Formats: sequence, structure tokens, C-alpha cells
Amino acid sequence: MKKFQTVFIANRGEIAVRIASTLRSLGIRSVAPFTPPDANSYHAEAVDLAVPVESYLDKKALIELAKKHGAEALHPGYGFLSENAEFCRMCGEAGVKFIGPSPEAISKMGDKLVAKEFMAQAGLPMVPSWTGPVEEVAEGAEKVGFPLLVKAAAGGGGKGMRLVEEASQLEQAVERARGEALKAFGDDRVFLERFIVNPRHIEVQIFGDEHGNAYCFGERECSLQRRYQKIVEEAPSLAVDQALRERLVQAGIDAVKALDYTGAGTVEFILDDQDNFYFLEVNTRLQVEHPVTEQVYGIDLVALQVAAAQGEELKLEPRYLQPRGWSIEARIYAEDPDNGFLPSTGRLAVYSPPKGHALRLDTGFRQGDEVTIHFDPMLAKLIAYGQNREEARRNLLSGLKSFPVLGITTNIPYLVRILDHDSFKSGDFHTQFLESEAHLFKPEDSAETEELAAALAGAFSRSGQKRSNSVEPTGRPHTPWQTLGTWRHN
Amino acid sequence: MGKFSFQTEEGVNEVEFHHDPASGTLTLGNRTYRCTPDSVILDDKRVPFWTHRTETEVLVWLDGVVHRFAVHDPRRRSSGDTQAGPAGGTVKAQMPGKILRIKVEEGQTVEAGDNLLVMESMKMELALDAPVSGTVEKVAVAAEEMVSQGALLVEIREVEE
Repeated sequence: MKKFQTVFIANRGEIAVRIASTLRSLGIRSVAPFTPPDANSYHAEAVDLAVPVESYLDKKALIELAKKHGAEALHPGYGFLSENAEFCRMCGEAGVKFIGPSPEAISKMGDKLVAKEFMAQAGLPMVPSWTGPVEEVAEGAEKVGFPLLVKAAAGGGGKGMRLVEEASQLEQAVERARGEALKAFGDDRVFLERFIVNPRHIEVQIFGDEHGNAYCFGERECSLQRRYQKIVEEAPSLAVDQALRERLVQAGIDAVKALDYTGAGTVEFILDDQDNFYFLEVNTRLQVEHPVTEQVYGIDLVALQVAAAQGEELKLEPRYLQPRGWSIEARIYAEDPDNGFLPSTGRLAVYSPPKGHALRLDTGFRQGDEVTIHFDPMLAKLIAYGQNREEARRNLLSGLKSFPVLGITTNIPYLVRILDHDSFKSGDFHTQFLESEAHLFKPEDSAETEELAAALAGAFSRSGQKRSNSVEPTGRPHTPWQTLGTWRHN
Repeated sequence: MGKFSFQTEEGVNEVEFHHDPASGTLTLGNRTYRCTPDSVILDDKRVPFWTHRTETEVLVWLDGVVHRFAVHDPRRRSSGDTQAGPAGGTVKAQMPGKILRIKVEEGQTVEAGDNLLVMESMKMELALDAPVSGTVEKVAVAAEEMVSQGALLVEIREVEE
């Protein structure tokens, strides 16, 4: 079995830094690309060799660079080309091992409808739904169960969609949905789907090797989202007991086996309040929130990915498959929660991450760095561990409260308000919680310290002085807009 | 005795304080705090603070909360000269981005609330509307143009009511 000497990281930001850190501990040299706006970025400094490229999406150029610099393997990170089956295939053809699943698995799971059909075949639970002739819709509704949604077959954007809470509303709802669907899509076919009230987003970390071993680590709870963007994640979940965890893990193992999956992946589910879970999708890559799993299972997922890609047989002892303690992650975004979550750009004049035994920071930025409009607004992830949930919560809260960032606006105060909220403490929340209860997360009046802050401003930031206890600008030239644009990921 | 003046929506606010570096104390009114250049004692606990001054504002990070103070400069006009957002008939970019479409021409009459242009920033489209009714005096940007935060986009000569 040949060990990798050099691995090419086809990514940027915090995930490139995080992957490089594991590669270093494994004694593997890391090479990563950087685009012109990233010339002075943290990731370009954190890897052993950074090489220029025009775009993080230029498949050919990336593979050529990997080969040129002697990389035997390529780690795609998340986002960008990580779930691009063609890129995965091209790597294989070029003799560069893609650190991830097969192109077949990526392409199957990349098409959401194909993925659902495939996983239904594999025995994973699906949200109950019914399709059939409109005369039989009443029987269909009984099978699906209430409440349910009438959805347009050709649908999208909520057009032709009706919520039906009981059988008596069905006929009228179907009639109206068909009328609306005909008008919007020229197609009046509708289907029924069970409506899951206040669902939670639960996912499991799957892992497979080339020797047929299938593993699944227990759940991550990712229900706290805004506009489908996860904000706070944790492992394990208060909503999952041991019996439910065993069912979730079994579903994950079934998915690995059905896909002949190699490397790390995530199976996402929605969970209702009756302990029923339903398949959503598979992410065929490392997830942003993977650190919470690493903390409670005591593993390094990137190291496991590398081992699997080297063709090693993974023999995970059962003790590694039991969660220990609790881990919570908060995503720190450059955005203004008190102003419609508008993105904030500028120079990180002050960026002083907290330190502590229970804290882990995965950051793509350092003090002095520019936050530009070119890329995702996530600055960093702060992850806290505790013997139990309350300890992890307090550790994360105190970390966030000791994380000064000046120069751009961040969502840190918003994260503090979430972690301090009674519903977070009790674990009583669901995927729509942050948006439906947005009024609960407005800033509190901080008049008490406002005056002191003003006095400190007066005493310690004199007007003749441009910057007080912050760093000097790096004088980096401003770069033009990238064709790549911006991206977000879950 | 020092004074710190800053701009608020209501006008100019002032905090009077006495800072004695020798004894490490900061006094405001009848309250006295022990402090160093980067921390202050609050409720018997040492709380770090950070300040950052730009041309237009002073930012203070204190105990997990960021306080923003607009710098009061008596040499400038005290009102109607805000740094961000529409002021009178002036429309500026509130964040950096790309101009997608221009909906008005110079010389055109617009009503308050009419859409002037659409810009894109961080994957979002933002429609910018006329803050006042009047005549479009200047369109300072073109479609596809990149603009930075605070850049002048459109000027409208307000009609007298």
C-alpha cells in the first residue's frame, strides 16, 4: 500500500487550512491553489506550497497543477468541485486519486430525484407521498396521512401548492391547486405529500473503505438555519435517544452499502416529533459542520479520508462509534444581523480569536485580512466541547463573548443571543425556528455600558491617531470581480 | 477632563470623562473604573476592550458587544451629511457590488419609491429606489460597473413641495 507524499487541496479558506493541518500531522506535503484575490490569504500561507490559478472551478488547470507538483491525490474540500462527478472522473483518468467517493456515487446523489428513488430502493424511509389519477385522490390522501401538501407535478416556487389539514378540505384544495398549476405551468397534474410540522434537520456521518467496510457515526443536529443556511450545529442531538440513533445509523450503513460508498459522506434526514425520520439527500463530501462529529467521536475525518483513499482497510473499534460528551459549532459570518443580514466587507482591523482548552477554531482569516465580496461570507467556525450539552453551550458562549472583531460587522452578537435563548437551552427548536421567531433575536438595549464604551473611545482612540490597538493595513491592491462569483454551501 | 463627542440621530452626544493613566482610573460622573489601555474592571472582573478608529467612526468592542460611534466633526455640516445610504436626493451604494440594470435616465422625472437601478452584491439583488421625488440630475454609474461601498450612484434634484 502506497502512502501519499503530496496531496493537492482544490479549495480555499478555512477548509483548505483545516485539511492542510491534518496533512501536516500525517507528514504529507500540501499544495493548494490561490486566485488573484486570495494572493495574501491565510490558506495560501497555511499550506506547504501555494500555486496561482485563475479560478477554483478550472478543472483542467487544477489537475495539471496537482500533477506538476507531484501530488498523488487531490482533496476537494466542500463547495466548488467537491460534488462534481466529471472532475472526480478527470482526476482518476489523470492518475490523481480523488479523495472522496466514486464518480458514479457522486453523480447518482447529485440528482435529487434519482437520489430519492435510489435510496427508497435501498430501504431508507421517504416522506409519504402519493401520485395517481385525480379521481382516487381521497384514497391517496388517506394513505399519505394529514396534514399534507397538494403539490403541482410541474411545480416550483410554491405555485399550485396547498396545505390540507383534514380530509374535509381536500377536494377544494386539489381543485384550486390544479387551477393554479394549469395557469402557472400549463400542466394540472398534482401529487400529495405528507407535511412535516416543525421538522428537525438531522444528519449522520457515513464512511466507507475500498474493502467493503461500512460505518456510520451518530447524528448531527442542524435545525438552526436561516434561509437554508445552517448557523449552529451540534452533536449529538437532544431529540435523538439511543433507539432512534441506532435506526439512523442503520439507515446510514444501508446507504453506504447500497452506494458502495468510499470515504466520508453525509446522509441528511428530516425528523418529525414522533421519532419518524425521512431521507432528504446525500452530500458526497466532507461537511462544513464535520468538527462536531470529530469532537464527540474522537476522530479526525480528514485523516480517515486520506487512509481510505490510500486503499487502507479501516477497522474502527466499537468504542469509536459511541458519542462522548457534547460538541456545538457556531458559524461566524461577515454579515449584519441587525440590518437584514447584509454582507459586510472590509479589513479585519481587530480579529482576536478566544483561546481555551474546550475551544476549536477553524478559520480562513487572520487579523489584518480583507473580507471581500468574492467569496462566501463565512469567516470561521468556533466549536466548543463539554462533558455535557450545558457545559459545551457555556464554553461556546464564553468563547463567542471573548472574540473581538472590529472593522467589519459579524453575526457574533446574534450567535450569542441564540445560545443564550431558553429554547436553545431546552433544545426546543426546529428548522423554521430562527425565521419564525426572528423577533426573539433582536438586540437588547445595551445602554448600561454604552456610556463607558464612549468614554473608552474618547480616552483610548485619539483623533490624531488613525488606529489605536489594531494592526496596520497591508496595502493590498484591490482586485477585480471574479467570474466565479460567490457561493454558499450547507 | 476629556470629552468625547459623537453623532446620533438626535444630534451630537457628549460624554465627559477623566482619565488618569498614572493611577489607571477612568471617571465618568460619579462612577470610577480601574482600567489599562486594553482592559477595564467591571463588576470586579477584568474585561478586555478593543478600539478601532476610522475617518468616520470609532468602534469599541467591550465585553462581547460592539459599540459604534459616528465621529462628530464640527468642520463638517452637522446634518444631512451622513456617510451611508440615501441623503436627500443622493443615492449611494450601501455595500460593494455590481450594477446590473439602470432603470432611469438623466433628466427623467421620478416619484419617491420609483426603482432607479438594480445592483448585485454577495449573490443578492438589491433594488435601489428614489428616496425623494424630483428630476434625475445625474446617473454616475453604468450597467456592469463595479462599485465600492459609499460610491455615488444617482443624484436627484428634489422638487419643492
